[in-house]
This record gives sequence, structure tokens and C-alpha cells, in this order.
Amino acid sequence: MSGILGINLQLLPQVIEVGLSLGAAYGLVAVGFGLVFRATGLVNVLAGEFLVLGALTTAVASEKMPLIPAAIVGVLATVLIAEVAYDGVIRPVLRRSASPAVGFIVQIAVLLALVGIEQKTFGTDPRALAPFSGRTAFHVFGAAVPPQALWVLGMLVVQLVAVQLILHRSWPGRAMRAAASNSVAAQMVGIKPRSVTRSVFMLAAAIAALAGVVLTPISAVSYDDGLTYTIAGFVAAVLGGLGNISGGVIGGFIVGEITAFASASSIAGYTEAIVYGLLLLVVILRPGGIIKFDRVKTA
Amino acid sequence: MINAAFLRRQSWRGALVALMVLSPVIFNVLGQSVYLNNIRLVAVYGIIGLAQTLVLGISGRVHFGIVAFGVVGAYAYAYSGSHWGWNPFLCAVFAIVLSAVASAAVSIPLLRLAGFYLGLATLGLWFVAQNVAGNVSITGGRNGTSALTLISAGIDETMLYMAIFGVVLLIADTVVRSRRGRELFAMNDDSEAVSGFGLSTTKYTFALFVAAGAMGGLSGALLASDVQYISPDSFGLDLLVLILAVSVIGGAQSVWGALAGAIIIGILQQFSSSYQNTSAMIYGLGFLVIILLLPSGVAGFLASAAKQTGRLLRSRRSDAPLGSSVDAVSEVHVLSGSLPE
Repeated sequence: MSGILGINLQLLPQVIEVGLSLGAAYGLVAVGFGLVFRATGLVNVLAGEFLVLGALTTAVASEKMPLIPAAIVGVLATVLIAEVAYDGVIRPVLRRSASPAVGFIVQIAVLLALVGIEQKTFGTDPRALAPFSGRTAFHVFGAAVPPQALWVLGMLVVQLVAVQLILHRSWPGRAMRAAASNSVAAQMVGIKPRSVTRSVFMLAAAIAALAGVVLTPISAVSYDDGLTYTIAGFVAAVLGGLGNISGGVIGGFIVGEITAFASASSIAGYTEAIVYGLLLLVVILRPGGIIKFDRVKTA
Repeated sequence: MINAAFLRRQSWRGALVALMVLSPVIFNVLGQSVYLNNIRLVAVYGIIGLAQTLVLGISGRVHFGIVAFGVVGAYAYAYSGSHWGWNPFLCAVFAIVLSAVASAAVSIPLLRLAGFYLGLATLGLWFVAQNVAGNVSITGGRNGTSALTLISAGIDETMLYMAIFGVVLLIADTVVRSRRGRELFAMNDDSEAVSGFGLSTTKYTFALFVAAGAMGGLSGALLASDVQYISPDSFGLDLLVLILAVSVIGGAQSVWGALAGAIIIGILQQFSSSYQNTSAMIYGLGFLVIILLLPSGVAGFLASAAKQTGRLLRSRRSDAPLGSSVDAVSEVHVLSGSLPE
């Protein structure tokens, strides 16, 4: 059985399953992206980093306590670090100049410092949590599905719904969107764009940390994985259209499936080139994303 | 235009470049020739960092793809030397030309983009270049390939590197301070006003991207010649962050920022390599501190400090009221592209 491009057709269901789990992970990062971009107009370079921080702190805490308190400790620690990074560095720098270049660079500086601190604190070995509901895989259409993959998918659905509800149905969410679309008008009705940006940033850190907690049992996380997740989430978010949160999730699955199929094929070495070549094409040809629904309207 | 006053104004630049070229001799006399290696790296990082500085400081765009042209230049240099038996200097010229052509080709679609979209697309460019270099057979794949050296290693080589960096700096400085250069800078402040004067911002940005690609290629060729070996790992995330750090730490407002940035990064690297486990932390925190405290980089800080001292001295001499020093401070803020709060 050779199949297309050397993909064994009998393994097809398994390849699709791998793509779905990868896609769910990228989709989780893309939700954080979409949230921050939609509510503040900033590109969240730290999305993957907060995922890694949440995973690492939870893994360390779980050596001393059961999973749920450990996850709470991990998420709170990540949010605290995000708050310090925002008020200590990002906000002062953005107040001087709010150009996208500056926004990128200051976040990369924070990323470098955090990676350095993680290397010193957690060491270079990857860390993982035990799967939440055992390791016995069950079979769907001939593909072995680890139970943890369902946890990741479930977390994705919960976060997607929660973020959409917060943004569209709650007063703080409306304030966030208002501040992003017209900062002056928002200030006139009593919204403080600065504190809105801070809360969005911390909310994004919290959901990224939770994503990290459910992801570690599937793939161990090491201190320098942050940017890799960020970039994968970036690609997903761009495919779906920046600021379009549900589009970003679909983009995540597209990237996940492409990665899984390319890795299983005879051109596995070019997986990254294919994914980022696709990113290049989409950015140049359809900067609004390839999915045209739920178009971003001004609030 | 070349008269005594012009030469006097230019003299510090010439002196600085002469000092750069002579620095290997000075280190040698002081018995510190172990650092020659670091000086060559300062030149390599400085040239590619200068490319980033020009793009970031002039057009205000974030372009991560300069590293991709470093990849093109390094492999063009290595391949033409080992497969076609060319003279290493010819190989270096070939590397510059090929990366400039590559940059011109990809810049045409990229010119439509700005802001994060350009940042993202160029990030993709770097990934693709690195990934393809790691898989194609002519590059030697993951294992990399060997490269010729420009001239035999040692003090001559280091002086050559510094001389090349010095020449590139002088050319960039001349262009930036010419009429064209002022138009380029105006583009960053207000591109609509520049278009209103009948100047094509697209044409200028294109020229800037091509020049940045050529400089990236030169830097890649010099890196290949220095270590006589090249692999995709030489162009990883470390290099991407490093050149961003060179231009931000040094200051993207002036071409001399790239020199200051490359020297500081060289020192930081040398310093942090003796603390294995904490090196990344020192590096990252150092980067943060400089971004927070010196928004226009080290070169911008030095320039505004010099200007401010000059103002203060002059106002003291003419017994001007104290208010004029306040003007000096606000002018410094305007110069560094930021507003007093």
C-alpha cells in the first residue's frame, strides 16, 4: 500500500486523528490570539509562552498536591506573571509609542527574559502531567484515540464558547471591544482602555495556562517551546483571519491536518516549509483570512 | 561641498571606522588576541543588524526575513566556492548579488503588506528558507556543508571583517544623510505627506528591502567564511532574535546604532557564555532593561545626551534663563521619537 505521496492509506484514520489533536492545540493558542487582537489590537506574541508557563508551573505544583489545586496554582502563577510583565514592561513601553513594531519587540524582550528565567527555575528537561483519565486508547474508525485528546478538544470548545460569551454578552467584553474599535469614544462613556487592555491580557494568560495544563499529558512541554506554539497559533489565527476567533479555531484544525499529513508523507522534511509557505501565501493573497464568515464588524 | 568644515564634521566618523579596523591590532598588542573571534562576530552581527536597523528605523516595518537572505548568502558563498572552485572574494560578491536578487523577487508581493502582516509573512519566509536549506541535497541538508575562508584566519582576517563592516556603515550613513535618505526618513513619519511630494514610497521601500537582503547575504557569507562551515542551525531563532536585539539595543534611529548594538551583544554573549545556565536569563533581562530605560537605544541615548550637554553648556555661557534647558529636554524626546508624558 503506497497511497498518495507515500501515505499509507490504512493509517489514514490515525493521521486524521493526529491532525485533529494537533489542530485542537493550535486552536487553543489561536483563541488567545483572537481574544487579544480583537480586544486590544495587539498581536499576542506571548500566547505560547503563557501556555508553557501554565504547563510548567502546574507540573511542578502537582508533585506536591493533587491535579486540581495544582492547576489552580499554575493558572494563578501565570496570571500573576502576566500582570507583572504587562504593568512592569509592556504598558510603559507602549505608552511611549504604540506602533506594531514596538509592540512586537517589547513582547519578544519579555519572551526572552521569561525563557531565561524558566531555564534557570525549571531546568531544560521537558515536563509532563499524567493523563487525566488513564492511558487506555479507544478506537474510532480504526484510529486509536488517547482519552487526553478528548480533554483537549473539550477545553477548546469550552474556551471558544466562554470567550465568545464574554466578548459579546457581557459588559466587560463589550467594553473591551469598544476600547479596541474606538478608544476615544470608549473613554467618553467611562471605559478605561488601559485597564481593559490589562484585563484582556490577564484573561488571555489564564486561558493559555489552562490550555497548557490539558496539553502537557499529550506532549511534554519544555522551557523554550513557547515561541513554537505562538507561531503555530499565529498561522492558525491568520488562516482564520486575525480577530476572528472561531475562524482561528478552524485555522488551527487546517494547520493541524496539513502538519499531520505532511509528516506522514514522503516529503516529511518539508512539513515546516509547507505550513509557513501556506502562511506566506495567505498573508499575501487573502490577508483577511481564508474563512469568510462572522466578519469582524465594528462594535 | 568638500571643504574644511565638511571634513571637520565628518572626522569623527572616519576616526570611528579607523578605530574599528585597528581594534584587532590593539587587542593583539594588549595580549588579548583570544577576543579576535568576538570582533569578527561583531562585524557579522553588525552588518545584518544594520540591515534590520535600516528597515526598522527608516520604514518602521518589522522584517524578520533578513535572516532568510543570510541563509541564501551563506549557501551561495559555500556552494560556489566548493563546487565551482571560485575565488572566495568572487564567491562573496556572488552571495551578495544572489541574495539581493532573491530579496527583490520576494519583496514585490511583500510590499503590499505592513504592520503585523509583514512581520508574519517575513517570519514565514525565514522558516521556509531554513527548512528548505535543511532538506535540499545541494546544501548538505541538516548536516550542513563546509565553506572556504576569505583569507587565512588571524589578525588580517579580523581587520578585513571590520573594514568591510566599516565601509558598509559609511555607505549607509552617507545614503541616510543624503537628500534621498531624508526622504526615506520622512516616509516613516508621514508616508502620505511623502507621496504628496510626488515621491514613491513603494519604490523607496523596495530599494530598502533589496539593500537589506544584500547586507543579509554579505553577513551570511562572512559567517560561513569565519567558521568555514554552514548549517541550517546557524540561522535559527537565536540569530533572528540577535539581529533584532542589535538594532533595538543599539538604537534604530541611526546607522551607528548597529555598531553600538553589535558591540554590546558581543560583550553580552562573551559574558553570558561563562554562566552556562543563566546566560539566557542575563541576555533576556539585559534586553528588557535597555528597552525600558533607553527607548531610542544606546546610540540614541548617547546622541541625545551629547546634544543636551551641548545645549546646557551653551546656555550657561550665554547666561540664558533656565527655561531653555527644558526646551532641550523636550527636543530630545522629539528626537528619540517619543513624547514627554
